[in-house]
This record gives sequence, C-alpha cells and structure tokens, in this order.
Amino acid sequence: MNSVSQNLVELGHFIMALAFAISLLQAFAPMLARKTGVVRLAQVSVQGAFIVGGLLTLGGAIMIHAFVSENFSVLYVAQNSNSQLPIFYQVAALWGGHEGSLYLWAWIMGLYTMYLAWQGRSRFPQRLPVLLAVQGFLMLGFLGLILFLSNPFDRLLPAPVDGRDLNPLLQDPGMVIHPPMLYLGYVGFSVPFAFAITALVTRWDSELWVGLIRRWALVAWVFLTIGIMLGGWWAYYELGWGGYWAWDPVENASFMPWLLGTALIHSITVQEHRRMLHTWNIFLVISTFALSLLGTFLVRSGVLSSVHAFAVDPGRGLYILIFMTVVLVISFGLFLYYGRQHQARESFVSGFSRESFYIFNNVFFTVACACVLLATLYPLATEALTPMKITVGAPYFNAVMVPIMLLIVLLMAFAPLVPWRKANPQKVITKMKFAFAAAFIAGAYMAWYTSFSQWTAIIATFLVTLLLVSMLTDYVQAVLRRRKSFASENVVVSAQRTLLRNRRFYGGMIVHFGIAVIAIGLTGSGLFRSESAVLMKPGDQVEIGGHVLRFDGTDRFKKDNYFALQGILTSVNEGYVLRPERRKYPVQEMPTTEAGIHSNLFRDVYAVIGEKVKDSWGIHVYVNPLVQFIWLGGFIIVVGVMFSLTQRIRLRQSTSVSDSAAASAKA
Amino acid sequence: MKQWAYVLVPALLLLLALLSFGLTNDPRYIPSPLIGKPFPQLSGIDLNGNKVILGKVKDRPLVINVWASWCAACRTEHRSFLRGAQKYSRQVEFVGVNYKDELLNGKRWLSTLGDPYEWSFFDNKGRAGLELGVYGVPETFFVNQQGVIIHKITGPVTDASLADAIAMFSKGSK
Repeated sequence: MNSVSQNLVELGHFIMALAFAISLLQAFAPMLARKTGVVRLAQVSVQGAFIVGGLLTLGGAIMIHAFVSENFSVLYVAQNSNSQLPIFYQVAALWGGHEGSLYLWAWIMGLYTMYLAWQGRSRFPQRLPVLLAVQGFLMLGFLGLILFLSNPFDRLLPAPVDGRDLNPLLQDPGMVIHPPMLYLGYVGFSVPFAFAITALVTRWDSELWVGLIRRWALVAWVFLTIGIMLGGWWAYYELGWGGYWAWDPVENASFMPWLLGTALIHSITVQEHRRMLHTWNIFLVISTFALSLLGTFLVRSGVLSSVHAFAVDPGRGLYILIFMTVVLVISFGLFLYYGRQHQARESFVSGFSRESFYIFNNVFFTVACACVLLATLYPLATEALTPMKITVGAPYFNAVMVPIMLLIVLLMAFAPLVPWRKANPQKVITKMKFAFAAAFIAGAYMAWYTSFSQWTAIIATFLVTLLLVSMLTDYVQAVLRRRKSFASENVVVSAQRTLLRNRRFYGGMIVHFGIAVIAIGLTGSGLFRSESAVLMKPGDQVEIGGHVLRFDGTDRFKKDNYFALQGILTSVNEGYVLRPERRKYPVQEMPTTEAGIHSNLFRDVYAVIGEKVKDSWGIHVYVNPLVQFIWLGGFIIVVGVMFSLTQRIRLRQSTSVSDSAAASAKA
Repeated sequence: MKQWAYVLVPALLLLLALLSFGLTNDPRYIPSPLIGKPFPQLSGIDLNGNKVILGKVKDRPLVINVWASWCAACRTEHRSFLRGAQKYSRQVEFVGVNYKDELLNGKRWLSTLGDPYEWSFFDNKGRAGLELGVYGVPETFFVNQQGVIIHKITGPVTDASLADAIAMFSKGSK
C-alpha cells in the first residue's frame, strides 16, 4: 500500500461529495431557470449530468483500484476482500457488499443519465433539462444515502494486515455478473420514469415520447431478464438443492418489476399503433420504477427474512423508506393531478382485435405482479396484525402463478396472429388449424406418457406446442405471401427478408419463442424431477431415473483461496464423471457447495456431496429433465430483443426523408 | 382520475404503513413453540468426555447457548458471553452446546477465544439441535429454575439482549 493509493481514496470521498453537490444543481436548475427567468440556467442540468456521470466513473475506478491494490485501510475493502482473493473477484468485490452495491447502482444511473443527456441534445432538447432534473433528484437520493450512511470510502485506521474476504457464496462467475445486470435493469426503468414525470409536469404529449421510452424499457427489461436468469443459474449449481427459483422475497423483488415491465413494453405498442392507453402507460411506467425501488428497499433494509441475508442497518432502511415514500407520493401525486391531460385518443372497435389481446396481456401480467406483491408482503401484514410468524412458500406461488403463466402462453399462441382494430375469429382459427392439430397430438402423447396423472404437464404441452407451431405457421405463411409478390427471389432470400424487413415484430416473436423454450424447461424440471439421498461407501452404486452412478471415493485439494473436497461419481452406463464439491474458505470459515452436474439438452444429472458418516458419505442425486432449456430460452430472449432493437437504425436510414436528405447533403 | 385516486391512495398508504412496520420489526425473530415448555433433557458427554445431562437444573437457572466452531456469527457473540459469564455466573449457569462440530475444532475454539461455559455438551450429530428445533447457530435458550424455557434468542446475542434475558429470571421468580 503506497501513499498514492491512500490519497486516491480521499479523492474518491471528495468526488462523492462533489457529485452530490452537482446533482443538487442538476435537480434544481430548471426550477431556478423558471423562477429567475434566465433560461440558460436550465442547461446546468445537462452539464451536471455529464459531470456526475464522469465523477462517479472516476470514483468507481478509484474504488476498484483500492480493491486491486489491496488497500485494507478502506473499511469496505477490508470487509469484502483479501490478499488471497483472485484478482477477478477483487474487482467484483466492489458490489459484494451493501455500500458497494449502492455505489454500483448510482454509478450505473450516472452512466444512463449521461447517455440520456447525449441522446437528448438533438432529439428532445427542450425537455431535456427537466428529464435530467428528475434523474438528478433520484441521483441525489442515492448519493445522499451513500455519502452519509453507507460510504464505501470510509477508512479503517490503523489498517488491518489482511481483509475479511469476499463472501464465499459470491465467489462465482454467475454471481459476479448477476448484480450489475439486475441493476442495469432496475436503474434502466428510471429513464422511462423520468419521461413520465417530465411529461406530467411539462404537459408533454405522451405520443411524442412513448416511442422513445420503448427502447429504454426494452433494454432495461432485457438486463433484468439476464439478471434474473443468472441468479437462477447460480442458485442451481451453487446452492445445491437441485432447484433454481425459490420464491424468496428478494427473488420476488426482482420478478415484480420484470412482470410489470413486460406489461409495459406491450402496452407501449398499443399506444403507438392505436393511440390508446395513455394514462395506463404512465401508470405502468411509474409503478415499474416504484417496484424497482421497492426491490432495493426489500433487499437493502432486511425487512423480510430471506436467503439474501444482508447486514441489517435500521438507519439505512429508514432512509430508503423515506426516500421511497417521497418518490412515490410525488410521482403518484403528479399522476393523479395531471394524469387527465393524457387521455386515450381512440377507443376499441372490437373485442376481438390485437389491441384487446394486448389488454389481456396487461391484465394477466398486472394480476401476476399483484399476486407476487401480496404474497411477498403477506408475512409482514400477518405479523403486524397477529402474533403469528408465517412465510408464504412455493405451494401458494405454484397454485397462483402456474395458471396465469399458462393463460399467458395461450395468449402468446394466437394474439400475434390477430390483426389490429377488428378481426374475424373464423380466419384466426383457420390460420391455426395446424397448430391445434399438433397441440392435440402432443397433449395426447403427454397424457399417454403420464397416464393422465399430470394435468399441468398435459395442458402445458398442449399450449406450448400450440404456441410453437402457430408461430412457425405464421412465419411460413408470411414467407409464402412474400414469394407471391417477389417470385424472382429464392426461398432462402425470402425467408431472410421476411425476418429482416420486420425486425420489431419478429424480434418479439423470437422472445416469445424463448419464453416457450423456458416453459418447456420449467415444465420438465418442475414436474418430472427425480431425486434420491443416500449414504454411500466407495464402490457403492445408486440408481436414479435410469442412471446408475458409482461412488469412487473422494479427493481433497487446495485451490486459490479455498480447500475443496470432491466426491467422484462415475456413471456406469455412460462413463461421465460427476465431481460434486464442498469448499471451505478459511478466512470466513464458511463452507459452500458446488454441485457436480452432467448436462445434455434433455436432462441434468446433478449430485451434491454432504457429510461423512463413519465411512460413508451422504450423497444427494437428482435427475432434472430439460433444465438446459431454461438457460437456452434466456439466451434466445436476449437474441430476440437485440434483433428487435436493430430496427430503428434501419428505419432511419431508409424511411425518414429528412434524415437521408441530410445524410446525402453531408456526403 | 378520481377512480384512480380511490384505488391508488389507499394502496399506497397501506404499502408504506406495512413497510414502516416492517422496519421496526426484526425479521430474524422467530417465536419458538418451546417457550413455556420444559426443556427436553438429554444425556450425553461434554467436551472432556464426562457423562452429563443437558437441561438439568442444579442450583441456578440455565443459559444454554448453541454454538459451533464453523459458525461466524458465534464468534461475534462470543465476547458478550465472556463478559456475561464474569458478570452473571453467580445468578445463572452458562452451558454450551457444541453443535455439529469436530471435537478438536470445538476445543481449540474455546482455548483460543476463551471459555465462558461451565461445560459444553458435545452434540456432533445435532441430536440436541433436533430436540430443540434449532434453526441455525447461534441460538440461546433461557431455562428457569423449574426447567422451563422462558426465552430464546435466535442469532448472536449482544450484551444488552443477554442482560435483558437474564433479568427475566428474577422477574419470573417474584
């Protein structure tokens, strides 16, 4: 540790204070401009946004430098790092604890705001200062929390010789990327929120900006999706209970904004195409961000007991609660006061139309979100009113969410085939006849396979097949239509161009396809899992779901900063080897498990090694069918969103006259 | 917008009221069904191999602390027990339950960090833990002179929570 590193940390601390002061300016500049009549003053918000983003980046770099240079005179570094920690995790330890996570939140928000400022200078310069002032208020709230109650730059003097190490559970690649992805999602929804508030305050016609927030919402949504998927993936191979989702309050905290965000990206489309749902969209935007804040509050205050047992600090909890109260009261207050200016311009023509099915989508997702919210807060309510302590577990969620999810799959199967305004049900059914035929066959096969014992599986098979085949037939029909008008093209070119000429629609369809793939994975692994817990001596065999595994003893070794005990299980029929691991991280004296998994597309063979009892070991083996489909589906969703996002750039090049004129003028 | 207000305002108030209640509430507090019930007596050995009965009251009420050398939170509460043992050893008997641990690790832990317990029950199979419904280490049970559990602390104790709980013994006897 040298003096440069020491002084850098003080510089970081100073930068935080400076960023706080500048976001104060950023937040109030437009108001000052209005009060004083000096219009130029409003531009301070724009400059402030760039400066705060830059300052936070510098502060983040200083923090990472403190971790990498092992500067244990910084309390946060001493608590979350260690000289034995591999450098990859030393960097990631920045968000391994409370203070750093909040810092990462603010940092990401600073970067988003900076991008918004850059984007807005040409596209919506008049409203930009107000937009950035809203962001400035939010930033102020978070920077205040960081600066006064959870400062990662706080010192610990005299410095300890070594640090307490990063929580071993977090020393995993999945866990390293999970928090930033979630935050990119949570914070991403702050931009649509800023648009909504700006629109309410400045009477900005939402038809002018709803198209702009669609992309922001989509980007936030896809990051949130990635974050949630990574969390599940990590839980699956690290926690060693064979599952990936436990309906834990903190998981729910990320799932609720995801559900409403999904409703939002659909309802925006209705407003764009049919000039409806203006008020509802503003409500969804505010609520989605409110749920992101609620998520942060639930995770960071320790109000609910959860597997994510973070250090509980009542001061911070109180701060976030007050901050959240202020944000919610002001934003919903503005919504109630000014909302009537944002009314739908058109109304329904028919109950059987694309827009009415979008409404169903919104109803289902909003209800799903309300159910999750209710169950997440239910323990608090019973505790407030009765002396009972209860937790709401998986049975409730499965009973409530599975039917809603199945309805959503049904909706996905035919809603995209239904035209806008008014549709002929007969035509839609005819379009779907192949899909129905295939779905009946698949459902019947499932019924035979489970001998009518698993109704959920039969229905899910029916619906997922319906969805997949109807998407495929719709695409094929679109290609054939194109072939009729462009007879000279060969089939491959037609197929490509059909996709590329309507990226937004087919991007959405790819996302739906990803959801269908996930649904297959959830059905398979949720309903057809087999497991067995046995005590095994070396040489013993265990049979599970047709797989015979032989226990070949254990292996011990030391790696990086941990000691590992590995069990060796060899598959007798297929020859692969499973190496479930238990690790001990000496600094925190904490044991962790690593499941041994052999995957192929159709099943995971999953083993966990437990305690030694006399001369045998407790071994827990699972066969999880189709789990890989879940991760594959997540990947497809990301591809779909990216494909959809490529649309606008294309449109601007081809359809906008003024743009192409400007481009040719430059050329 | 009126219909919106009828739904939104109560929902928002309810949410904020619940959350502020939640903040004053300790999520780690888990009421034990054992409170008010006699402590289940268990025979076994202590860390030195002597035959003992856990939960048998001799002359003073018992403070029974479930700990393990692998448990990080036990380390944080250990100092409170060391101080408590000095202060209250006349009023109460401090007994440890060494839960799911290796004998040597447990002994080494006590010799390096100090031993606040008069003796520690050796529970390497977690049998006592099962009988007591231990959720996670550390947990501390307060057993009065009649052998009845009057209080339980889940998670690490502090000087204050230990003093409060011990004060409950004298209140109960009056």
